[in-house]
Amino acid sequence: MLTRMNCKQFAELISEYIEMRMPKRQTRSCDRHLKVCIDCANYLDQMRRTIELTGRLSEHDIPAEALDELLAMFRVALVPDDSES
Amino acid sequence: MFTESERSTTPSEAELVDSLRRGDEATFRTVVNKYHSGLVRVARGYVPSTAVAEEVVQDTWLAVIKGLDSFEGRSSFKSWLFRILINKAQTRGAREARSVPVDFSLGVDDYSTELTHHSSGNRNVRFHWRIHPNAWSELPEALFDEQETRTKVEQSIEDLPAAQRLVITMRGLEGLEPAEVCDLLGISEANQRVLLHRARTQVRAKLDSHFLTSVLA
Repeated sequence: MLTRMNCKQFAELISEYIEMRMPKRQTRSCDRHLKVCIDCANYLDQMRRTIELTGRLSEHDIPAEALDELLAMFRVALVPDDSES
Repeated sequence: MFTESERSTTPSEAELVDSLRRGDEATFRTVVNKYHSGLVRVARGYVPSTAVAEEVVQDTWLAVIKGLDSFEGRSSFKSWLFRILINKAQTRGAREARSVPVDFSLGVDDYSTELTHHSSGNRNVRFHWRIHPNAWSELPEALFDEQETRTKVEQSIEDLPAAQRLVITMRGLEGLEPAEVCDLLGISEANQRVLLHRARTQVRAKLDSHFLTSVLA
């Protein structure tokens, strides 16, 4: 018989569970544990939201001078020069 | 330019590289803006300051411009870009006196402070939460969208040990695949998994205390 999953085991597998990177059998064990454990269900919710939040951080724009320098380099290197054709 | 919501529908990488090779400035501008933050964050893992990280990123873009013709598409563009960045950051980091090599080694147990075990009547040792995780589902939804929350997440990532910061940035923000991250950082799959997990766990813990203080305030 399968031994029941405990909270520590679930907590350690939580990333794989959320990203669905685990064998079906293990997913089922996690599902079973979640049904009976409100603590882990809350923890799962916390981790899901955390992952969501880390995925959409505010973007820092590149400083304007740095972008200008890059664009100038880009033009020299890659933009077709009409005068040469 | 692509807006935030259009990001998921950016042209395929092949089209993107083609368009850069043709000298399409708008595409270049978009790509630079899109990856800038992530590149700086990753570079920051190797060099002692954000200012130096910005320089490394600038050098990376120059190398990309020069190297576009040699990009063969054997890896994803993103992966290629980060490969160049990491090489430059490592070289630069080695030159900076204060920098220390990134430590990818793993310590022990993740949940030793949050989970406790007690021997029940039988010989099985069971693990339970020492402190019950808070129900974030009961928090006001607006809290998750607040600028303060975003700042908190950003700070928490900033405070992570370099190895964890690198992995969470590359996986979480830039959406690189686990295999790509392992390859770029030269670490094993298991190592990558644990680092990501620890990073997320720590950010979660900081968010949790942030939410608690916000709600109680």
